[in-house]
Amino acid sequence: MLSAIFIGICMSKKDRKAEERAGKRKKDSDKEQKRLLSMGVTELVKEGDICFDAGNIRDAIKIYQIAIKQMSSKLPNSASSNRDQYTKSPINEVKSKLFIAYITRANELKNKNMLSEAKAIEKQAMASIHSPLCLDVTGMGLFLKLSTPEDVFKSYNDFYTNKKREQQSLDLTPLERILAEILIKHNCWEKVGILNDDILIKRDAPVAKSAVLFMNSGDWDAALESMKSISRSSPFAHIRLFCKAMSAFYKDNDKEMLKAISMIPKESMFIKITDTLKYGVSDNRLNTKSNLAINKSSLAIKKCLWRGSFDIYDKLENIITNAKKENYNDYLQKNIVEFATLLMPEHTDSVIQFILETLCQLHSNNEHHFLKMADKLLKKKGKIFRLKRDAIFTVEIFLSGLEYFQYLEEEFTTLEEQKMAKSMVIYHIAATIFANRAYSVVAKIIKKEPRYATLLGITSKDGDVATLQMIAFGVKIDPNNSSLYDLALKIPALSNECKKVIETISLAKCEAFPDDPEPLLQIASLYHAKNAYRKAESALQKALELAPHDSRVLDLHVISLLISADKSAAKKKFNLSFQDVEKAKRFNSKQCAILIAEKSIFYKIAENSQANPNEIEEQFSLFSLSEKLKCYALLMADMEYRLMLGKFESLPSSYRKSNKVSKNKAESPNSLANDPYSVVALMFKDNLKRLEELTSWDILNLLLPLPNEWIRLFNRIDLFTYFDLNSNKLILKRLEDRDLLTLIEKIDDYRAFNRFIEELDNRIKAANKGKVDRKKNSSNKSLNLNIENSKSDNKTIENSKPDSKTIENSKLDSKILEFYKVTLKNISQTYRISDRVIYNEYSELISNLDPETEKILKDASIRLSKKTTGRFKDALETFRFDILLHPPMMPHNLFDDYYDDEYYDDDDSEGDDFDPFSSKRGFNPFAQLDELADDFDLSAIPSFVLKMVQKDLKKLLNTPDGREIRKSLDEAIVELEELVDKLNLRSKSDKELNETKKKILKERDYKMKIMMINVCYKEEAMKKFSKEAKILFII
Amino acid sequence: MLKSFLTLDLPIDASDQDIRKRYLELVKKFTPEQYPVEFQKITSAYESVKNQRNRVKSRLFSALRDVEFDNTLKELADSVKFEKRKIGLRELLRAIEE
Repeated sequence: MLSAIFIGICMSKKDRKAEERAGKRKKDSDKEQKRLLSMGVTELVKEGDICFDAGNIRDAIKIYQIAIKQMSSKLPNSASSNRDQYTKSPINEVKSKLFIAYITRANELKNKNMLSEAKAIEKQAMASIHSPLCLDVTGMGLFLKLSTPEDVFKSYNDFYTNKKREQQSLDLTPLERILAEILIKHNCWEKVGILNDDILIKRDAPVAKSAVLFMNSGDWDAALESMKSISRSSPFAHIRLFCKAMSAFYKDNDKEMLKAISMIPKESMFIKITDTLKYGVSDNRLNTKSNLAINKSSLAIKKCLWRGSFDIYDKLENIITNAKKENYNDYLQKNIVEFATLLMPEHTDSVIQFILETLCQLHSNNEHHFLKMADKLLKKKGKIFRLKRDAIFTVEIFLSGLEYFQYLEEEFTTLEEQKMAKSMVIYHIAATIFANRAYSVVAKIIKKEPRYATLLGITSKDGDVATLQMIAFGVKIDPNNSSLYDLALKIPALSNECKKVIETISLAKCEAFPDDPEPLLQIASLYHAKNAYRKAESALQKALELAPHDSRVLDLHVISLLISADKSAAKKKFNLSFQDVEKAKRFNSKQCAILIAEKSIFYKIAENSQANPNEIEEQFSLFSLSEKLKCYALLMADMEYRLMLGKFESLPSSYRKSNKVSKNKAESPNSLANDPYSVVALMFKDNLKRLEELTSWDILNLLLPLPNEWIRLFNRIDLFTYFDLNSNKLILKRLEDRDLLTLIEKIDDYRAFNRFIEELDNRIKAANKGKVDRKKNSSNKSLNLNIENSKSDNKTIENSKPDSKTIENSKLDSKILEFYKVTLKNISQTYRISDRVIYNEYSELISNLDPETEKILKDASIRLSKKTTGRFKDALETFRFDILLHPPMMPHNLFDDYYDDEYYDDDDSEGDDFDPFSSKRGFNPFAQLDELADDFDLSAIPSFVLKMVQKDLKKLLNTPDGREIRKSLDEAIVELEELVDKLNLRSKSDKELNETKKKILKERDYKMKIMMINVCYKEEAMKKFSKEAKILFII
Repeated sequence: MLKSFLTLDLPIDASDQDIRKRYLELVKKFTPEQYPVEFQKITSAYESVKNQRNRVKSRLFSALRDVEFDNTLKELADSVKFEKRKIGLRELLRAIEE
């Protein structure tokens, strides 16, 4: 009851307010009416014109009406009024204005789709004039458009006669253009007879009449041709232009069409058509005239001019809206089918399948209904769709992928296509295994389901071998599937079984691509790795025949010959070594020129057990200072390597004198002829004194690692240790900022890091103190720190002495240097400080960066990430250091979710395999101890013996002689950390790690490395290993 | 793949030869100097379907592409084909009245 009263009160309040508003409006209106009535005619007309021009048509009509009323009341009698209606008089002028205002208002209503209201206004307009003769030309134009064809010609004839009498020069062509369009539209050519003979339209009417026949039949060229005689001033001229536009439209001559359209008057009835013609002119002039379908205006005209799917976007919108809401109902199905039919009526099924596959991206929660809809739409092919979808999007890649093989015949018509598809599915499976490092899971699946092994040509129980065998099987089915070959080379293979399969795959590639030298180079490298030099030589010979000028072929050939020369020298068959060197020279390899020179001298020294300084000087005379220094360093590296192998009996004593060399500065090379190592070392030192002659690029070149292929000649690729960066501080100082950063990126040896950090620190301090005027110009910002770019940039420097200005211009933003410094520091100390400290350092460093510096740092961060492992690696890779603060996430493994519960057996250690150990750095100090690996047992060594050994080894590691061993042990630490990553062992529980540890120690290669680290390097390893690595590898 | 066939205005079972022939026709018409955008579209469409291997791969793994499904479907709709109709004046005038 109370509420009813309350509503009543509210309502009455509302009504009262509305009443108040209406009353106010009426009051205002009355006031306005009074104001208008008080105005004179001239003022009223002026006010009406203002309203009309401002687009306030309703007010204009009202004002003109008042003006006419006032004027009529002042007229003396009706007779004069009747006479005045045919002449130009003030009242007729206002009537004309009122008529135009009415028609304008009617058009406004038509545009609002208020057609009946518009019609009523038009009637009012016609009633407002007693005769059209009172109208001006504009008004008459509107009048003609509203009149029936029966009246229009008579009205115009009268108007023409009347107006020409008043003003001979008046241009009535616009009106005659309207008549011309009425003639064409209503085909009432006989009405032309009513017109006076001097009316222009009468003259051209017969020509236009004959042209209309062609126009109606769609022969626009003929119509244009027949209207040739129509002049530009003719009322039919714009119709001729329309014919021209239509003709150009069908000839795809947009330029001509647009030109003709631009000359057609805007008020012409053809404008609607010509505006539509413009839709055909779009940015994309192929099939995609999408704006035709997107814009729904003038649809009827568009459908006349084009044949196509105008409602395709409606269907698309329906599909997208329903799919997003996961409404997999009949309506969505209907729209999918209609969309497919509109798009490709001959291949509807394929389009439907494509749409469904695309909808898979939605990862629907309503999967059941989605698949049900797919079954309905695809009918028999529904099963294939499901299998493909599962093979691609779900964990069932193996099972669904293999089951999908059965349906290949239905999907692909020819045998060739079926083979291609099968090998592609195999590639997909193998690539997913590789990406997830899921070799052990593969081994488990095969063990559990041997039929899969048969289906994929797998015989091995080891996961990595099985994966490679799967690839080999795919290659057998489709030898031209190059992706499979590339994948096979990515899978690291240390076991002989793996190498054998890779060899089979590489040989298949040689056969499949007989004109490509690349597979031959790959196979040559494989043969080199297994010391099958004759086979490698044969492969290289074939590659050389295929690509005699390919630098990769030439370089590898030279290396192959020098490996052979080394082997001969080791057997003291120096004549054979020299023969190989001569052969190598013939290849004119630029990159290997210093290598050949070095080997040439090395064999002479080894043959004579002494070094002749003059001979060495002469051999290297053609080289630049930097090349000479590299040759000397290579020579020393060569001698050290052979001594380690114990191959050259004549050298050990002299090698031991190397320390003496650095101490006894007075000694000259000639006095040490019988001490070859010292001779070379002294010559090297002499040349090193000219360091200031070298450019930054020269120094960078000296310190950068050697090409990977050279590893088989020196068993090392780093030469920087010979330049003793700690003593020769000038070396790094001479480097430009960007070259220093390039060097930092390329050298992975922890021993160099401290010196790098020190150098970076000096530069940052210098920058901050303002000692050096750093020019932060834009060229510095865009610097690419890649070695390749650095090379090209320095081409100009290479042949010129460095000047301070050049170096100055290469200074980098101190933020960049700081970033490298902090990163290097954290890479070498990751396991000593907390992640929060690292995060804090970076958050300060990378805040408020300008976009260009940020990009430089992001790129650098990715490159530097390769030097480290674990979460710090992830942070660098993603340039997101906040991830260091979050609890570690479990690594995503496509196979884990599915197979762990069903197959994983903690006690089952048989048949497990581990990711092969990467040996990219190559030098392995344990290579000669391989045979010990099987029997080596740390616990079997008495503790006092072990302590003694460790004490001696510690001493050895601190001597120059121990530097190679230390280096190799550091590399082993990095490689073992990589193994932790590869096996996805980060953040795993101690129990899991200890289980895995047992399995790792069963692997011969790993066992040896772990033992050696524990014996020789345990203290250092404890500092450098991550938490997981400590559990796994410290005994 | 569908989009490529629509761009080249070819049926999806067109042969290598048909595809090559159509490609040459189109690049002759849409030269890179005059129509760089069209030329690029034609070339990229041709590259994706020019040989059997690409077509098989596309049919197998088209769903693998990591794309927004609505954009992919819109691209298809954008490729819809419109052909000019031969039309007379009378029909056009009737269409104006509609």
